[in-house]
Amino acid sequence: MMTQLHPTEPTATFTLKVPAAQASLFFDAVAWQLPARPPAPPTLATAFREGEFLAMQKLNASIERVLHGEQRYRFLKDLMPDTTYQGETYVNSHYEKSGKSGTMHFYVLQTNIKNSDGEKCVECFTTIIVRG
Amino acid sequence: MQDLVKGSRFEPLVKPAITREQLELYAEASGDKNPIHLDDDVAKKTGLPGVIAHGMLTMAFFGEFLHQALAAQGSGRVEELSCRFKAMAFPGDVITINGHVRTVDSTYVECDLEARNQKGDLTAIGHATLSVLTLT
Repeated sequence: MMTQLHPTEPTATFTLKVPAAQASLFFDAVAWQLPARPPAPPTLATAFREGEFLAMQKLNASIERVLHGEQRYRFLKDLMPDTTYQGETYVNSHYEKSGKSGTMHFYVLQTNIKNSDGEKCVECFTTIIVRG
Repeated sequence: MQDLVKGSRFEPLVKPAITREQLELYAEASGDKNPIHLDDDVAKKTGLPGVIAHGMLTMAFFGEFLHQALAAQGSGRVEELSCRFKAMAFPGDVITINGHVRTVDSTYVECDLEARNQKGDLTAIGHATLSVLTLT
């Protein structure tokens, strides 16, 4: 049974700027093979998971027991390298399933990435699975 | 550029085989340094056969695939992208991304995406909403 938590306050907040060199490395890391590179990697939002990692600590989830179940992004404005953003991470819901190696805990985390004008740029919905 | 209708298929994207060095680079670039992607011993202690690729590496492949598709159409942007990880990917795996149009209206194109390894196993499924300025 899924428990909807309806958080009103973020579990974690953070400020982040991805340097251009890191964004360039991102393209290299995915073995980008197209002739042109856009100004930023399409999934650069994944570099903004600091709030999720902080939330996992608060949930007492050991990182090596965590698997990535699902990911969804709503892209409202493009994220750019060398630009400072604010992130707010919420734990939206939780449910459990029994598996071969014990109980697995599923958490849906939402991170809103905002620019310096307070405009929401990306909504990130991450389902993590904490293995027993 | 093709006329996009329900069922239209985009050019597949075949990625080079995943390497351990790539996972180290991706950890550095993405900030996800979970040791299950970097250290065989840690991965095995958690019940995995060895290091596994970041799920988000496959989602990055989806992003590259969509960029290729939009470039072929001449314009547009990705409004929404989702991915469900179905099976693990490992160093040595060759991932191929395919996608097709599910629905089209005057503003948006809804696409279904899939990632398969060299054995044809489904490793991830995805969905994207594209806004394409020219739909003829």
